[in-house]
Amino acid sequence: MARTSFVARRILQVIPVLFGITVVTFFLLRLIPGDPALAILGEHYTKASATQLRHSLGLDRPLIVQYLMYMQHLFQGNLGESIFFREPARTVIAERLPATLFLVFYSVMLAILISIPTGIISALRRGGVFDQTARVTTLVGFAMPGFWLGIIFIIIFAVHLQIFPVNGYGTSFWGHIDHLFLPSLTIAIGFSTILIRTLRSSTLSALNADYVDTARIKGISRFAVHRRHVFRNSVIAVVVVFGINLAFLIGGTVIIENVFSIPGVGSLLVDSVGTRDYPVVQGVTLVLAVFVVVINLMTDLAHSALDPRVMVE
Amino acid sequence: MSATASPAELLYERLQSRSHPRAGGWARRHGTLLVGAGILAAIIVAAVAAPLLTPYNPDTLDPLHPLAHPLSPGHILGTDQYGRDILARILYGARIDLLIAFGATSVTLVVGTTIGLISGYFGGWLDSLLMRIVDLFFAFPFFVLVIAIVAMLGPSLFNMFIAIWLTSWIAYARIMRGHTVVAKNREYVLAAKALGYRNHRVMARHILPNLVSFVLIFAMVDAVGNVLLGASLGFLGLGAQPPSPEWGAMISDGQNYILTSWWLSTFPGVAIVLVGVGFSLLGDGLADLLRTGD
Amino acid sequence: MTEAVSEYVGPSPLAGDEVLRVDGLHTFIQTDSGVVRAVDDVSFSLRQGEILGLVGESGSGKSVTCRTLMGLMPSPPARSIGTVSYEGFPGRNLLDARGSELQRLRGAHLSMIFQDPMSSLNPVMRVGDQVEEAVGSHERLGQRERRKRAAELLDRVGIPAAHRRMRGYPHEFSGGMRQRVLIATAIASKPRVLFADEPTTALDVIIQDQILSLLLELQRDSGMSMVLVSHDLGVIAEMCDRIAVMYAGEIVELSDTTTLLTAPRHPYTISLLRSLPDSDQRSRYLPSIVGTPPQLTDVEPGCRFAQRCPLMTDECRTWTTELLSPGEGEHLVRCRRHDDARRPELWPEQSSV
Repeated sequence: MARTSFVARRILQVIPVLFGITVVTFFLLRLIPGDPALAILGEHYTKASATQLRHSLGLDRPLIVQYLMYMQHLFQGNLGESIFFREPARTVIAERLPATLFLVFYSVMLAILISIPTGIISALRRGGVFDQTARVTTLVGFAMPGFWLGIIFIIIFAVHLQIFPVNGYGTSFWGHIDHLFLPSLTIAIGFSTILIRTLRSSTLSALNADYVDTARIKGISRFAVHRRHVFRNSVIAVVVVFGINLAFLIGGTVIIENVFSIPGVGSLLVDSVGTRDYPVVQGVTLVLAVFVVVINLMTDLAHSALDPRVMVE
Repeated sequence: MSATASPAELLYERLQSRSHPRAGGWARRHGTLLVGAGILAAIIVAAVAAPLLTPYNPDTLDPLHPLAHPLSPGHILGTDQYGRDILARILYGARIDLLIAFGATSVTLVVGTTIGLISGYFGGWLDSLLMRIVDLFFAFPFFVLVIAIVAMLGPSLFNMFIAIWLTSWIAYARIMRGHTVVAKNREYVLAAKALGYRNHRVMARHILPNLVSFVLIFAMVDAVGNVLLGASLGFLGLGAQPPSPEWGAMISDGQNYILTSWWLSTFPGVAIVLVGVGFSLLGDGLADLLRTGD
Repeated sequence: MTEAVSEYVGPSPLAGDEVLRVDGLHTFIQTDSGVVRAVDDVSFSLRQGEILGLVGESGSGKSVTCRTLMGLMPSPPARSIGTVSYEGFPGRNLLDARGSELQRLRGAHLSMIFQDPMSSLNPVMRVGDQVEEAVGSHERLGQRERRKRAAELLDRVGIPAAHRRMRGYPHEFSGGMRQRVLIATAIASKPRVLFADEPTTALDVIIQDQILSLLLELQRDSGMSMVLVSHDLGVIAEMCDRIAVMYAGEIVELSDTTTLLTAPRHPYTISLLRSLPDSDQRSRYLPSIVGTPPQLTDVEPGCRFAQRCPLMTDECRTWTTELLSPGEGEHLVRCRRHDDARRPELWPEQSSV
């Protein structure tokens, strides 16, 4: 019973955050210095069309009304009209979303695959060659710009060794797997530096914990001690860190999409800055923020499932 | 001493000879800190002394020597497609990237820490409001938000600073607030208040000094993040604008020539990693210092 | 696991009702500030069904002794040497036990309960599962049987509504309850020897009593031998048949309880006893022993208590200490002036500090 009320509470807590997101994205457009109509219309600026635009955007109404209009549109699923594509922003974004989602998911999988064994082995063989190598690699990896790593990967694997395609998204599921491997790996490496550090540190703490001694003296195998006691506890810290840093991961996809020419919302965002397609910029920001909130909620729930102490608040 | 020492004593002797007490002095024990500080100091000096270290300007075009290989006469790191000396661009670019690292970080540090301190100390509705705002901002992928802000304001280095200032203070506020809430119930604070010290004095002279170290360590990590952020925006053309020798922009410039003239994009990348490693080591060293009790 | 080197080819067999005999146990720990002589030449025996107390201040080596015997000292920094004979490991030195041998011994032969019940249970695993884990570690049992036995054990140690509470997590239990759970875990496989490392130190006084009574009960019922570690002389006096007093890694006095309390011979023991609150005392202050124990990284030859000893002479500082027998029964003292120590006139007045 406590669990369902906890889950319900968590979900309810998300709602004000979602509202807050809409407020922030709403104000984004208001940041534009000078006349928004001029900025939006650019060379097609005429006094008449400017007045019409201002009216349709509600820029001539009080701020509150504008916000309410914005919210009304949102509820109808209307994200505005893309200036560049001359299509509803929603359509443009929806078209590009799958590639980004695939990329994010793929990156997370690779990151987990890399981080968990590395973090655990580093902790178990603390001070050994593997550990020292891992620490140096994560140190450098943390400071390395993702786009630079991406470029290097392209040169080595795509151009010289020709194992993977240079860029793009591919057309089938396996095509995606193939095309997105290098970009996902690039993102995963950056993300892993944090996960590995956390896992190593939490595993070391767990290894020294009193309850591990209690487990040892029962006479169960070392493997069982590690599996049931040490790792069960150390992985929790990673789940927490994962949630916190997910936003960082999403940020990483934006630039990687650009480097590898992947048709996702990240590259859409960057392109739209260049074309001054403000509604799209705003729309992508909103969508990605909502995505982060949802993922954070799921991580929170996963955390509480793994650690029963979390619900006691 | 008897000729036949017991096996226990033999074991003891053996262990003693193997374990060297780390009495190597302050320097050895704080190696990480010193290396990190050293790297950063070297880069700062190089940036400041750029005119002394290279005869070239970062924008000097030399159409006669485009894409010169590294170690060609007069150009240790080679030149780019316009004949601009890479080393010169990196040294002058260091000024920009270091400016980003320090300028963005220090402002957000000061603002965020102050807000967090005040909020945590006074609590109440102000604190609740702040925490709501913090939660809200953390919902946004930071990079995306910065891009969006820069998009609205117009791409430029200065607007990038504004975008970072507007968004990064949150993390500091949250950390500081968390620590302040714990600290304000500690005896030393209660004692200070009992002595009748005014609030601002308690905050500034009692709470803050104890928490500064935590914030500084985070600031190191944040600095790395800001450098990468600046480079990323430079790469995308949304931060430093051409012909600025900002390292990210340099990498982007060199992309088209990557197959034949790898040095255009490689050296700036190495420079970024160096700065990042410097800050990271400095942060780790500080954390070690903190843990072993100063 | 402890890395050890046996002194003899094989340990000599145990006498009569001895269950465990420790001979010349040393544990050295490598640290950044040098090698710590945490346990230095400790010898004692444990008989069938007896409770042996190990008493001393923090850092005296009592916990490390128990942990060494259980093989819980992590081997790179810690190294042990000595001869330990245990009846369940005949003809072999217990310190040499490794891997599956150690696994076989832990739980079913040698067991331990630790000081802090708050951190000694896995916080993310149900309490019942943790007890079941102990139950099933040495016997092949079906799920249902394991659960049944676990519930019985919990009931035996005084957990009310055991069946229901088994499903709970450690944080839902109080300190005293957790310690009961830990005791259940420790005795699940019916060990012959139980090491109890300060089992009540972290609990309130009322609960302390309950836990100690429980331990006594369990010990009487099963006939297991127990080594009880504490810094609290009162607890030791109540529970133990024999007492070993430890100081700076060494045993300084070993005797049966009555003799130790009424006729102690080591100045440290005597000082400890004198520092206990006594209703006859007229002074308002408790005398305490001046000074602190020596650093175990640079141990000098001679008696380690000398600096703080009221009976200290110059020879004490250079004397290679050993356990002497004053002749009455099984009393051992590490003091060359143990006869003089029995004379009250040589002791300074109870000073009020």
